[in-house]
Amino acid sequence: MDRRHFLKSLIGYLLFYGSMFSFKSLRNLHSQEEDSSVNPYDVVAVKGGEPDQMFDAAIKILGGMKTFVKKNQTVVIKPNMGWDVSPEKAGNTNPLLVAQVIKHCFQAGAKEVSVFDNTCDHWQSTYRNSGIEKAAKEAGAHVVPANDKKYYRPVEIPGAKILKDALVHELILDSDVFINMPVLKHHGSARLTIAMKNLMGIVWDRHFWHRNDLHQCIADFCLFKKPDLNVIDAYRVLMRNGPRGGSESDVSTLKTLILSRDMVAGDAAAAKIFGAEPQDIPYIQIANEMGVGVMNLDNLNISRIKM
Amino acid sequence: MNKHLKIVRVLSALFFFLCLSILFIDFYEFFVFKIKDFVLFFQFMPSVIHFKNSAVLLSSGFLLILIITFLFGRIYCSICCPIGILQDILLRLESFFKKRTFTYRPPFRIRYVFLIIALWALIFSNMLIYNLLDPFADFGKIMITLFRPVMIGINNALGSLLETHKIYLLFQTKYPTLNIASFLFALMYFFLLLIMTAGWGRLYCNTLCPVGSLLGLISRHALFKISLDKERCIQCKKCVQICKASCIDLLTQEADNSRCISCFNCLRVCPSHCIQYKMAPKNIHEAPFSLGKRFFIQSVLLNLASFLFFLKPGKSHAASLSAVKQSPVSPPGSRSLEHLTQNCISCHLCIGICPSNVLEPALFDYGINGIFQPKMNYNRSFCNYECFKCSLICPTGAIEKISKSEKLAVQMGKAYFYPEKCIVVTNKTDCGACAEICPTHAVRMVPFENGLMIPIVDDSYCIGCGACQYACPALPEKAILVNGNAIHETALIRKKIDQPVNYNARDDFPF
Repeated sequence: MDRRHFLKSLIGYLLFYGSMFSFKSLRNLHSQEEDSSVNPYDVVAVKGGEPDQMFDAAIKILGGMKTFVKKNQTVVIKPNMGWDVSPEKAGNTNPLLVAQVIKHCFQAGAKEVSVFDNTCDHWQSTYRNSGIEKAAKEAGAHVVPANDKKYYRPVEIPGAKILKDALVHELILDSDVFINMPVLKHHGSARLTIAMKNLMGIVWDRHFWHRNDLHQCIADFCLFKKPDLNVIDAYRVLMRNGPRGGSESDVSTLKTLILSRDMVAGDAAAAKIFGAEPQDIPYIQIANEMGVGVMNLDNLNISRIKM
Repeated sequence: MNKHLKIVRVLSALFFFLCLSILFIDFYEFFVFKIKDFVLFFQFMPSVIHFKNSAVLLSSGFLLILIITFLFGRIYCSICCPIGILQDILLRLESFFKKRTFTYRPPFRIRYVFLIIALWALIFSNMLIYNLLDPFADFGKIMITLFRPVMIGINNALGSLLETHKIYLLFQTKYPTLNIASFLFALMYFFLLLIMTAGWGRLYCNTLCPVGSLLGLISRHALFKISLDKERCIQCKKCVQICKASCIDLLTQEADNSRCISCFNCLRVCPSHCIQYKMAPKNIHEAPFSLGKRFFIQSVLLNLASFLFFLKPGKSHAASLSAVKQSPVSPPGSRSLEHLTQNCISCHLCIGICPSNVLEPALFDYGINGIFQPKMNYNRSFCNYECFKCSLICPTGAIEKISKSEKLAVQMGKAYFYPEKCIVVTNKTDCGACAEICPTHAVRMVPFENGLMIPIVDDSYCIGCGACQYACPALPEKAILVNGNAIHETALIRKKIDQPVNYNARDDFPF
């Protein structure tokens, strides 16, 4: 072993062990951060800003998008994009908000972000007229079709009372992170549609739900998979003639945003924003009893931000 | 010059055939709305019926075709007619496998029978014969029911392949609604065409096709036509053997210009250049138009018979339909069942273009005369609220062109709610699938017993789009059904009446 070789290996070893140390300390630091960020707040509610600003403020409270999205992970975002109406009519999630969430995902290092909904109206015109297709594509996401049964795979829902199995979109099953992005609005039969009801758009056969106790099925399906994050859009809120809407005279601009890991808590908070009591919405009540989440906001840690 | 006519004919025909095919199978709608006015302008029967409805410049294409035929012969049959070009393509494909020779055949007078029936049918607005025999209508049926599904199948397979690589370029496209009867008809028609072409060339055009027979009457006296120079003809039979209309008779050394479809093939093969396409204002050799005494009597009788036949059902047909309770729903813009059935030649363009695939060929919903004409199938899909593509594409005006604001209010039918079948009543659980999908809020949810909500229909707002019927999950029978309006009406628009929502949002959070 000559001197040059010795020096080289010495530097190599130093670098290797040094990096081990630094990694270790980094990992400790990271886990500390995670520890401190494990449910600092159950619900974050923001009021008074534009959709993108409100999201920036809210996600910061939860430690940024990196809390939810790790480097090179795949993300699927499910906005409410069910109706062939323009954004002003508040039938679908705000496109500006969807784009902002996608941007945060990529900043956190996401490899791929996909957006889809199993629409009620004709899917291509709904994707287009909701404004979400354009906004999401510009933000760099894949806007993925969900109009064919071949995209759906059967799953079982353990613990469900009625909806014991369902066909679920493959991206929900294959992606690392699932972000649920409902819009708060009036609903003729479910009373309100928020986070839990939004999951109806990731299954193929909705007729079954309608036929077999809609509220119980909505609560049942929450047992299948909990979204990693629920971003509830209440910027423009359809106060009547929901869920489709169709007239701007039905819309009230509440400029509110709610973030929560817990769909039941998110729905409860959003219901109150709407002016309803959570226990009056049957599926929120059922989901609370089934232990899907917590409906009583008094027991939760809520961050309130006014902009 | 005469030698190059064939090349010009072939290139023009291929261009038209490409355009016509795009019209029927362009399911991504890249070109269809850009070229439709141009292509449909030159289609004879669609133009005639369109002109009958509204005499405008856009619908006057058939006049141009008549003038061209009078000047240059049946160029239409070789260049514009999709079935004509299809036969030429089939013949060309056949020639790769075996050498075809034709022989002269005296004309079939039966074509005038079809022509007479067709003329009376046009006068009495009975579309059945055009539905079955018109080349554009039948080409449409072949393309929509046979070729379009194949193209969609290829697209979907390719799309699936690309999607595994995260390329979302080709969408999974739904197949058009196949009515087994229209599928079988298209198949049978295609085979009939195949057999006739393989056996006798352009026989279809000179016996069954009403357009061919009509243009034949004119082209007999065309300014430019095929004529033989008797001095120079060496009786080599090359022209006879290549004539797919079988119209060159070497015994009399004459071409039957009423059957000549101006393909110009004979010009190229004649070694002595005795066949010429030239101005022949008065052909002294041509026999005068004479059908014989027997045929004269036959045609008078036929005329009378077809007159009486069409006189009866033409008027009473739609009236009898409106008396039926559950009547079919006709597409938006068709104005009334009568207007649709009396103007539609069922080319299936609307069925192909319909993005929600709610349109399908009727069987006997409109009566026997309305077979294969488009109707709504609300068990399969529903009419998109803001879509009126069928009214834009319709070549005959059977579905009249309407504006978007007209579409939003046109009432094709009315929804009827049958509470005894509704989930809310039978299962005592919430449902509301019909109300949530209703684009006009004609179906709303109102309080029912035990805090449940039940639908209620206000049919003054209903446009009969069928969304509620499609969405209704009740089994075995749906609890909300749309009944077609015999004459389309205008619905009220709720949005214009609504007061703005009054909601006092709190400044702070309610929790």
